Amino acid sequence: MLSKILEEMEDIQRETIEQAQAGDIAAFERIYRAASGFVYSVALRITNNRQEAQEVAQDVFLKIYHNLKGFQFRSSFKTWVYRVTANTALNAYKKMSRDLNRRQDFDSIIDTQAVSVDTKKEMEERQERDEQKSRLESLLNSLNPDQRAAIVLREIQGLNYEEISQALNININTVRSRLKRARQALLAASGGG
Amino acid sequence: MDCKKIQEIIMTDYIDAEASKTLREEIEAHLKTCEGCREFEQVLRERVSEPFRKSEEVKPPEEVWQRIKETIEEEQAEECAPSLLERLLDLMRNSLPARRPAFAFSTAISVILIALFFSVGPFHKQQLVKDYIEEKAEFMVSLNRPVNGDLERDLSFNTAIERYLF
Repeated sequence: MLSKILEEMEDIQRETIEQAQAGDIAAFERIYRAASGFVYSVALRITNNRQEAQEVAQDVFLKIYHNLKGFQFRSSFKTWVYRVTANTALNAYKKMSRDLNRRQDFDSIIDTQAVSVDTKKEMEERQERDEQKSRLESLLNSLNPDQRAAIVLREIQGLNYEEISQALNININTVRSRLKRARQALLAASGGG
Repeated sequence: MDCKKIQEIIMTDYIDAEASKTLREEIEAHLKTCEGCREFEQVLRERVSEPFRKSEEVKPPEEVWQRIKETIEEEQAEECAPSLLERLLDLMRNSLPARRPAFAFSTAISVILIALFFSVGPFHKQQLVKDYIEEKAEFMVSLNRPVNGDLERDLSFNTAIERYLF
């Protein structure tokens, strides 16, 4: 079953892409609205940083816009978006990995400040979300960048092996082995391995 | 298949719904009889898959689109608007200043060449011949001119040389 984000990606019509190729900014905005959930979500899970994820999303859509005229429908548009997103997010993550911890601390401070203005119910909901987010981040932090990308595309975005292989430009056996090693690492990190 | 191999498949193709029907049925049959593998599958789903699948779907803030749109519009403005201006600038920057000295130089050379052409070229020689003939003709006329005769009569000899010269 496709996630809502992937369903929106599926809804992008060829006609819309052709209009955007002709320079129609309104058509390109429709593509953005349909694909931005996927792009931002992958970027956020891989980089684990909102600011960086926003920059990745911006970068991805500018790359798509600049290269849209050369897109000839030989492969599916969404596969192309998967690939550009995965590459851009992975590169950004590798680039920022040295100061990642410092940025996470910054994000935590922002979140803590935001909690102070919530109502009690909102605080409880936020706390639950934060615990979930924190657990997710903790799990993702136990993976290397390649495993992280594979697990995000599979577990969070729901891509199948074929789609992951195209997005990461690796063969299906490599997808399988990366997911296996990622899950072994996740089991160990969660105390179950 | 032994439990190790079964667990490897559970960890990949089985949990990700990539296994063929035959393989899936084989795993399911094994799970019915093997408590260890059943427990492994349950732990895997609870601790590894579920936390990710429960994660909320996120959308970027609106400012991301605004930044993308602004960048595209700026790029389009750079591509379109300067085309006329750019041509003018090119003309002024590249053509005129670059060619002005060249133009002046070529004009000077042309003037010199034209002057040389008329001073030492075939036109110059023609003028010398013409001057020489006129001088000689005047001399010959002066030899036959009566001291008090008028010009009409002076021209009445009607000789071949006179017809040629006058």
